[in-house]
Amino acid sequence: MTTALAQLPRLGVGISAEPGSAAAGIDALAFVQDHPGLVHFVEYGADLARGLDDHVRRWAAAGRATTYHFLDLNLEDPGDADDDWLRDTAEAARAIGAAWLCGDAGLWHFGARDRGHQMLLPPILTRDSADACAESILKIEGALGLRVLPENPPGAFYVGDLHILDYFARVSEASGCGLLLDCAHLAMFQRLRGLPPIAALDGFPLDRVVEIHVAGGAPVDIEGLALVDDAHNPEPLPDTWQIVEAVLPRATSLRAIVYECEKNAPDEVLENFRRLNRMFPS
Amino acid sequence: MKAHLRAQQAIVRMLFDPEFAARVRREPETALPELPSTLRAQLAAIDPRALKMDRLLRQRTLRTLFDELKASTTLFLARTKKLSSLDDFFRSRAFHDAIATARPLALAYADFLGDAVSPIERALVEARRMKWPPADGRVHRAPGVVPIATTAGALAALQEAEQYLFEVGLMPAVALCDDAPPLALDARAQDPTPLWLVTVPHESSHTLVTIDEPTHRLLASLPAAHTRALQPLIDDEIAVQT
Repeated sequence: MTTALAQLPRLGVGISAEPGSAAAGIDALAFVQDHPGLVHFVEYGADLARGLDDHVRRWAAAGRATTYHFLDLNLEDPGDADDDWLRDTAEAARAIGAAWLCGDAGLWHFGARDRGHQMLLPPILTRDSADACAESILKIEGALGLRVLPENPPGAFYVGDLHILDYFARVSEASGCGLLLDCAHLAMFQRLRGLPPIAALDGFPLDRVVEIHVAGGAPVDIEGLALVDDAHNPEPLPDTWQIVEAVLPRATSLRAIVYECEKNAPDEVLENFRRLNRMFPS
Repeated sequence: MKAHLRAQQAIVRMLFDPEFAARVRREPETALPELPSTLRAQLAAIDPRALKMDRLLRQRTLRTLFDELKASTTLFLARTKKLSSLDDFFRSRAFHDAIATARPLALAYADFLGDAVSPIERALVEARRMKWPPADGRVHRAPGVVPIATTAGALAALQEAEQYLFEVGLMPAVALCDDAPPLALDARAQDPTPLWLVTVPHESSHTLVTIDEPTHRLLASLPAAHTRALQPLIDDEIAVQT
């Protein structure tokens, strides 16, 4: 049995981490020592090839909260959650006491899960794809007993008829899953479609949003085409903050906010951590 | 396969191969016959500039492939003398078929390199991707065990290419110099003496062991363990030849 959304723990404001990220960027344990009360959990992003690193093991061994963000599963393809992936991911998530699993619902690898096959593409925004995504989530939650929160991915283009919020609304409706809304990724989508930052939020089940992501993005120009690079630099775009502010009062199931900033210097991200904690106090 | 997954495969091909992407825009019906018309039109409408967002995608992928086929790539470039010849991989049938059939890219790349590929590196690529087959009452080669029939010259060429890479790697900036050391294969690389080897898993890696011809033939006659994402290499009609 999976945990009801209402029973999921409130984690507060957390920081992202990836294998080896603490060595070059922010070590969460050192950060909480230097700046108490700002970071309450670590969201560890990994693929099975790289696994858990010493940083997240130390964090978890200290009894601190975590979530596990997969970087190697194509949620649009129910067959991708094979027995090996389910077993090894469950082992990794349990080893760090993850409160739930999450991850971008799109294409993390083409073909087999193999060297050189990694990339990240958003899902094809069709009803069939959303239904397949829902099927994957039901399969994983049933096998692992952990909640799976699909996340709206970044993209330089999106294919399909649906608005990305309508896509994830359908995924949640079909599977009963909670949702992870990445506000920076949503800002990218809205810009690409020429829409205001908070377009389509009214039809989105904000009461099923368990986690949100906030991250910096860098505007780039590709031969005259204005795009946003999901750079995870310190400063989120104004669009991203606008989405956060619109979502927070209505996200009644919200349990966690992740500030994806692990590759930066601590003093570059302090003020945003303070701001997020004021918005979502623990 | 569902249409959305076929569309993702097509997008991957478009990202790696600008010529294919241009063909999708120019003649979507013939470039993407496997897709429904709506998705086909949407893929054809992708702004080509958006496909260039990750400008290092191909270099990064080649770097990963090079890791497994270092000597083979070196021998290939020694012939073509053009770095851009590696980009031809992403236009090749081997690449596009690999995406369509979920074949490991490293094996497709080995095929692309043609007769420049070292049979030893090629066997190691395969060995790293094998896994236990379902029990069917037969004796299989264990995962990671791949017999290799090659020549002493091929082994020497591999070693000379590795030595060249080591020396160039001491100061990669030599690539900018007209008098940079060339890859020079000596007479040992032409030695046609038959050589039989087998890859053997050892801890988290593989080692090469020299075997005799009868042992090679025995191993080659056994059904192999599965190669991940490949059709099982099992033949019910195998007969041991002595």
